[in-house]
Amino acid sequence: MELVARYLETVGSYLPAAQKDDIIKELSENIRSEIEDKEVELGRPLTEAEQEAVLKQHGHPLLVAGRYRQDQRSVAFGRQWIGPVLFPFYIKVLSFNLGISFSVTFIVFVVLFAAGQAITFSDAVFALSLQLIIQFAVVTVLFSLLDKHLAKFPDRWDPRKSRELKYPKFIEAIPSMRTAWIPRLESASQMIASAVFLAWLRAAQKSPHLIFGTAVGIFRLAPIWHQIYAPSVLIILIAIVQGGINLLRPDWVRLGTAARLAMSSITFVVVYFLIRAREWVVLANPNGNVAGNYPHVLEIINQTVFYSLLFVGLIGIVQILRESWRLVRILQTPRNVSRASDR
Amino acid sequence: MTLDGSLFENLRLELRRGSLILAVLTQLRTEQYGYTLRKALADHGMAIDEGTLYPLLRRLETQGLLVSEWREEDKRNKRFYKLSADGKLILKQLLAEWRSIDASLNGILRG
Repeated sequence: MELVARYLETVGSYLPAAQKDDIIKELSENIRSEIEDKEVELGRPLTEAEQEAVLKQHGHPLLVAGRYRQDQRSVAFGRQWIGPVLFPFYIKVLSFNLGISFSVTFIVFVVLFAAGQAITFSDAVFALSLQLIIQFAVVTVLFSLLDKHLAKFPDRWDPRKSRELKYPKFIEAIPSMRTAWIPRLESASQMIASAVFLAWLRAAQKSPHLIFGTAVGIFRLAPIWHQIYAPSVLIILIAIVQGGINLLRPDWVRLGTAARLAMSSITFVVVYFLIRAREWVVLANPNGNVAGNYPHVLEIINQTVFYSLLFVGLIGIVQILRESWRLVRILQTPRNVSRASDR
Repeated sequence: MTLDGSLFENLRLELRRGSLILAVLTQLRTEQYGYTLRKALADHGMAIDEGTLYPLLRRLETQGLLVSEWREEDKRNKRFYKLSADGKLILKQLLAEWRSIDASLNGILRG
């Protein structure tokens, strides 16, 4: 019955935490009843191949979990682009990306407005619409391709490759160890969000309009941002690669934790150098006319960036401590106990 | 979409969807758990795959048409479903509607 346990484990990783235990308990009971029924009929235990056939009939773990979700919304423009199975993850990634880019745009506009700059409503609408269109188009197309693949090949999965049983039963009972696995959709979402952010970063480097909007002729980014560009790209690439590997091997928890620790550490170093720079936004034309409110606006922007960086730095320290603790715990777990689960 | 198998399949699924709910509600006039319910439906020619039936049971329970309880049977805990009071009322109305549609359709078919 190890195959069934693996299957249930995989289905459970895609379910909302609040419903997970109840659904898995019921699904487990129904599958075991079906297997027992077949065994009585055949007068012998089912072979692994026969158990596989039963699980295949139940369906891909992602699709099974998706059907249990209360939220059956989808994205459709004429035909359906993103179905209910991927919709919750699509919304999560889109909200995250839009949240970041809207926050940056909003802060820039609020500071400019507070400093008495002439900002028209259409300027704000144009800048926000641009962010919305870019993020929406990229994230939607990527999730649509993923959805299409899933719909085209619903049977392209192997029950034997479902996540392995993590630990022996006595460790399974410890909730903190039970939650140590990396759900595949979390990895896929991380890859998509990172790829979109990388595209945005490259676009923003070439076109500062994406950051400053109509104030692009007045302000520009200080040289420090160009110096931290390469390490920032490195962090994003680590996130993409780790997401890709954990998508294929969700049981490689040790790799996931080590990658997150590396990303948090590099982020912390980057933030340290950023804080040391003391100047993050400068006047586009420092030798030009500075009679207006621009130096004052610049001061407000830089102060806002300073406090934001301090906040990010604090989060970075918490992340490093958390991931270090997690990694130490995983490394302390004997290999014969953790088996292939925590590579 | 062309007039091929996929169009027929879509229309067939649409036709079956409402009928399945009616079949499930009717079958649950007597208490059953997921697997035995699926077998009973299949025995009556209404085969339904697991991935559709089990989430459907939960949805019908959320809508207040079914009630469920965990109980031990054959030394194992199973979740048993049956029609709620509201479910019985709705089923009565749905069956009346079904009979009316059936009669009308037969009338149309006879010309």
